[in-house]
Amino acid sequence: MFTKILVANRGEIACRIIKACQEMTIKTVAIYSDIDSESPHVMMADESVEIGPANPSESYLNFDKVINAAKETNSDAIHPGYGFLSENGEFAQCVIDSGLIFIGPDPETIRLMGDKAESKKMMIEAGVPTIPGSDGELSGNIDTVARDIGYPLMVKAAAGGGGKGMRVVLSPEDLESSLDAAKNEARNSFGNDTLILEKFLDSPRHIEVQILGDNHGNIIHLFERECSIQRRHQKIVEESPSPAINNKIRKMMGDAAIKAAKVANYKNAGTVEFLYQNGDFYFLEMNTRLQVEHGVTEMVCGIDIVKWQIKIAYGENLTLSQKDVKQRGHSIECRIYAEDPSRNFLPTPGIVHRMILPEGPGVRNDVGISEGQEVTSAYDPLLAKLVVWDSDRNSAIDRMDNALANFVILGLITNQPFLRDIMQNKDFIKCSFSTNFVDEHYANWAHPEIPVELMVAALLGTKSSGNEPAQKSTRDPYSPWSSKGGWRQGN
Amino acid sequence: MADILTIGSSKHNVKLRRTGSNFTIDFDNEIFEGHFSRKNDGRLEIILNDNRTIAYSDKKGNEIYVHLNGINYFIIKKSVRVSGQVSDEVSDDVVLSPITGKLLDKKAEDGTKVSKGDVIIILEAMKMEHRLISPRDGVLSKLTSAEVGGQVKEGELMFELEDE
Repeated sequence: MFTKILVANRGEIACRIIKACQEMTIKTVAIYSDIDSESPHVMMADESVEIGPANPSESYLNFDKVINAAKETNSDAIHPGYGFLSENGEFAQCVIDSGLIFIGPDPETIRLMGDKAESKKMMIEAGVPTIPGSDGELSGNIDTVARDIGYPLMVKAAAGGGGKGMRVVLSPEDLESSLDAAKNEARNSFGNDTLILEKFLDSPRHIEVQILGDNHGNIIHLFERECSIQRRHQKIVEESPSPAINNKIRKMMGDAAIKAAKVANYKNAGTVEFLYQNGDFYFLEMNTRLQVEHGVTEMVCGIDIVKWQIKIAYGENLTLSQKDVKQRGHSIECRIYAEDPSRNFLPTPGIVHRMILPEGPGVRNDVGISEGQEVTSAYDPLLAKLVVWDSDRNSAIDRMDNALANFVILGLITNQPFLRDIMQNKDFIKCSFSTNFVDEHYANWAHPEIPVELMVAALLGTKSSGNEPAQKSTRDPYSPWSSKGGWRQGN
Repeated sequence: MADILTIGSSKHNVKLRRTGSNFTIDFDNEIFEGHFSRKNDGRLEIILNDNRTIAYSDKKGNEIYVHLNGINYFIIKKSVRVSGQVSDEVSDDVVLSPITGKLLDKKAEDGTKVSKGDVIIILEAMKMEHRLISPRDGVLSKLTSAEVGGQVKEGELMFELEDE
């Protein structure tokens, strides 16, 4: 097994990876930018290397600095975590070229899956369902192409992005004007007026399948995660299993994900993302890294994905077979962010003065902050991932709501009340939701009314200001503080 | 002595009196009575109308942090001698930074005429841009001396507007 691994990340995911290494008795190296010198991941690792200023491009994203840190410390391998350099094929290649092992898929697989057009083409050839549409440039009778795809549909600029050159077409009468408008926008924005047509999914669910593949051609899936609850296109609540699909769809989706992974020659842990609507699912993209929400799969399947990533990268055989993998019970994850949901999820940096984690059966905390630490605006405001498991979905929801109520972070504003609203939302409980859920229910979310108790706590809690012994009760009969008279404390 | 507690954009006039483990609180001119006890681990138990609530709190300077029912509050406390009306310290003429983050750009200089809606300052926090716009027509003054690329803190004065 590896002797030493460098973890090229920070925050909760770096801590998660270091823990897995510790359990496998592998030494760890943390890297950190100057403002992260006292972050939990640095405290946890056996060694640490400062790699530059806060700006990620000068530290966590800098190939040379990361690879040099690994070489200086005689590390065998680099685990990229998620974000930062995790889906950078060029970086993976540099790691390999410098004689180290990259814990993830081959650089070529990363590059291929990063190209949306190329990966879609590959999936179509492999027989993985994709969103129906015109393949390549529109030609021939466009009305016929449109009718074949079916309404509502979407006109998209082939070179597009950011919503420009995009039009939803509800009926055939609107097709021509939408094409004209999209063409103009595409020409002005991208200098290329090539258009494509795609089926428009108005209320899709985001369901993804976890994949594990080894270097010897074995590929299995660890079933699905439901990730439809998103704000600003970023997931905030994830669960497994998905309450939306039956076992037949579940099997089809798992088979399709394996097909996708096989055609991509996939090694290590990865995720195939699908959109699901009305019984049909379509390939969206493949994430060639460990996902933020991998924990819910671990809880339900009883498999440690990070440890498998390390074993696979070392060259071990995937000794699990598909029939060994079973879903048991239900798991939910809530992402706790330093952000204010009443102000359009504006980040709320600050100092963590006190933190008390919820505990109890079936409660898991993946945390990347510690008391005294400053949460700055330099990085993603994810503070912690709260994951629960219980025998069924409703029990898991109750457990999550309770755990959220007992997650104490003093010093920062967090999105906990928003997450609790979701746990108590009737449509969420009934499993009736799509990726539009947050917009539909919480376009104007406001904080609950200020309770009187808050004012009492604010003023009573501070008058003692905590630590002066005069305010602390003690059971020690010899303590001067319990003395009944004779002298008075100064004031 | 009364306190003004600011939570987000809402301000509250609060007066609290305690006798032993009992308290009386005047919260925005409504009176409540209850009792409390402090636990060894720093928790505060509050009993009000037979409802029991557990709170955690801490403070630094005039900032108070309270956890209550799964919500982490951030409160700014100001003590006033007279229990008068809460004054509006922040008017249309003053724009403060809503976030702690990086100053990306200053779009105008002190002394220039600006119109309502003009973008004056662009900030960035956690890869998100925030544009501070002029709340009215006027002349720009006291533009922040923070340098482009430097840091600004939440609540820091970004600019003021004067009449022409």
